[in-house]
Amino acid sequence: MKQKLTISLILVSLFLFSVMAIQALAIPEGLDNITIIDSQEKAPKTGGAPITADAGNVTWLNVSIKKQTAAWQGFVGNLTNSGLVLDDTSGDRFYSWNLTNMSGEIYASRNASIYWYTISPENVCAVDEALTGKGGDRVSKTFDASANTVNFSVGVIAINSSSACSALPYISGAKQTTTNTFENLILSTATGATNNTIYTGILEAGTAGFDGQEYNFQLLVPVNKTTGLTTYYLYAEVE
Amino acid sequence: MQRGVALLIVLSLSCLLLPYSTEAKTVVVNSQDWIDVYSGMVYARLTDGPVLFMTSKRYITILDKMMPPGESVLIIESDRLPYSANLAGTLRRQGYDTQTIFSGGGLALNLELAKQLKTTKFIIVDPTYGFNAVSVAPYAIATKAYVLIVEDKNIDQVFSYLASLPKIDKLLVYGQVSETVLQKLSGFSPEIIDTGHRYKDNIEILNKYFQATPVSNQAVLTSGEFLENQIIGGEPVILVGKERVLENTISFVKNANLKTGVLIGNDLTRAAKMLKDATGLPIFVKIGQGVPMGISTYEPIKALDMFFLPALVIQIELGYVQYNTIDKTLEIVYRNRGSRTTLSGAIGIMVDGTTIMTVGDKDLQRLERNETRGFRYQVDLSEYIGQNKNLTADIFTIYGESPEIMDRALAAQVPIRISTADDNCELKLGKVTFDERTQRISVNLENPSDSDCYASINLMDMTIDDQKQLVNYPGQAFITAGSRETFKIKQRLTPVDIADNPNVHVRVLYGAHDGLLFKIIDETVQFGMAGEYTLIIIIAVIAILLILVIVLFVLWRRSRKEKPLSSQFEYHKPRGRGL
Repeated sequence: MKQKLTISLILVSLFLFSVMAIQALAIPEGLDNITIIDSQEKAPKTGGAPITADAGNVTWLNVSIKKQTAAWQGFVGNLTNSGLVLDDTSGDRFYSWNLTNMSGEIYASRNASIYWYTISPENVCAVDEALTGKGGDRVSKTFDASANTVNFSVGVIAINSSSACSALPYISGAKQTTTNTFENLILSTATGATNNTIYTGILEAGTAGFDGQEYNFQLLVPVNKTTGLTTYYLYAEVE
Repeated sequence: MQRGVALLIVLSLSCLLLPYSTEAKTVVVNSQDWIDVYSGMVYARLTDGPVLFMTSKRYITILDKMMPPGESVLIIESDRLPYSANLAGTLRRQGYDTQTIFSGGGLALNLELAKQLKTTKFIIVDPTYGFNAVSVAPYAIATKAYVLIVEDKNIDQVFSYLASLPKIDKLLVYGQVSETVLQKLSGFSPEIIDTGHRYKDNIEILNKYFQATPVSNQAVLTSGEFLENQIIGGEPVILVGKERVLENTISFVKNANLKTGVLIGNDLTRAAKMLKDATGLPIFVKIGQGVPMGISTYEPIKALDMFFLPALVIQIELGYVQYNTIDKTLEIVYRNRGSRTTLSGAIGIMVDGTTIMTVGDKDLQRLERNETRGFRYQVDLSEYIGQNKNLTADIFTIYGESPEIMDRALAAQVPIRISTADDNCELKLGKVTFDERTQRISVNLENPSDSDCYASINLMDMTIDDQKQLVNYPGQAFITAGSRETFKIKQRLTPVDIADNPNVHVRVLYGAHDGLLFKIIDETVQFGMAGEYTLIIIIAVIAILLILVIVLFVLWRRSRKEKPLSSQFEYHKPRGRGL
């Protein structure tokens, strides 16, 4: 009986040993010096280098009256000084670009597809009052006709001084009286029946803006006073 | 009664058809699958409706800022990869009228939308090449054709659908598609645009666009690597490189009677500047958007809504530039961060700010995936060494995915290092084997020299899945002086692949200095199987065990025979009765 038990034990042990031996041989070798090569290549997630810095400051501004109003939105920022830094609309990603060779203006329009070859200066300042309403903060109370001072061109189209509605934003919290810094003017495009206005800001080489900080541009745009729903697209021209 | 039943049937059918009504609505795509987004955008354009696509989970918080209240919205939502679960519920609570089409995967949705549009004009593109889908979209919109995304996986469904139509007015196959797709569609006699060159294909489709829409004064310029509303907006799209515009694109623009261009992609301004300088075309960059959130008076400009497409990663970086006083060579090191790249460098040598000469590549050079590699140019700068002069390299290297598509450029000015080191490193190639269990290729290298060695290990043109492929060790291998090292590369190979590669062509670039790998081993060796040894060991162990079992069994039988009969029985012995 004892001998039978011993032989059985030996047989079981041998079986277990053989299983373990095979298993031991089946264990993959260590992964030293191995780097996985992934044959699938993914599209880059961002167009520019993602960073964790805050985007260029943007603020609402009011040039005509000191009280804040829902009819105007201000954009300030840097295009070329320290590069263009933006986050996406949902605030999930940041993008940073080094824009080179930009000309001296920035444009904002509600039109997502402007025909840039149909640009002309807008000298009727009572535009976009469907957005701002007819109150004291309406466009024609904010911009003055024929008041632009800078000559420039949009593509091949010349924009001469004294040809467009123009406004000067506040600098360091005060109204400009002797300077023309960050001059804003209105252009228009013949793209469609609506959303033809293009709010244009003259770029400065790093100048103190509404809050005393240095910016390239400081731009005013009207927004829908009732709903607040007005998306603008911003453009610059390659020099 | 019968009339009531008929009315009920009509009403039920109306309800079934309602979610797929093709009337113009704002299309909102809630999917992380680019084919869903692209298909939804093309569908919206063909039904003259505006389109929004979500770009992140948080996008739901701003959707109501992007659409007027009470808007009728058609949601295209991925079953598996939505950004927001139950978007319809959220929008309904915000007062929107919603209908939803669920996508069971991009390819299925793409075909489903084709069925809803009931069009008879189609353009076929392969899903591997997102830029082709971008390139072809304006022509599709201009001619009211739908873009079908087709590969081997779904060609049967697409074929069945096309075959079921009473007629097909247009079928255009654009860019590279698989052989199976081409064969299957050949019965429809499609028109084919496939020059093998994405920029040339782009010009071909632009020519067709301008035939269909002769009065087009403005074009969109982009890289084809992402979607944005204006890109799929109907204006012609001209593809440009990241940093360069190829000559045939420049010629096309010169002759296209365009008045202005709109660049979408802030990282493409260098290419846009190049195009403007070469053609005189005024170019405007759409740099961002402003969305008043109504939360704060301080609101930032935002990036445009962009949805990125699958694309080849082509990117090289500059390592360093040094002058070797012993060899009298200028050495420049590049690191490849993407796929196989062709490059051609021009390096101006500046002494104290003045260019004294320019060296460069007479022939195109190739940089393999993940490879760090140096290139040498014979130049004698002895008279400037030790003279306290600033030596600078002014580098302009053009590169790209193939010799025909060199659409990138690396431009930099960097100081030139001075090196007096010699290269005594030597390497010998050992065995190259494949382990089937771990699916790894082992390359054995011996360093018999007194100098440590860096090496770039490349297995050239291995036949994998019937395609010639480069397999390489990522980064640089390091072999200390006097040692032998085995480097393992993970690579899945089927038995067919193993049979297709009885030998393997190994190219090892090596050198004593990081990145400066000017020595080369170029040998074809037998491709052995590491797994064979393991199999032999397993068989040997099993054989030994079997022998042991047999021996034990024989011993046990003998012991049974030798025992007396009495010992084989057990008796019930009487217990101590009376105890």
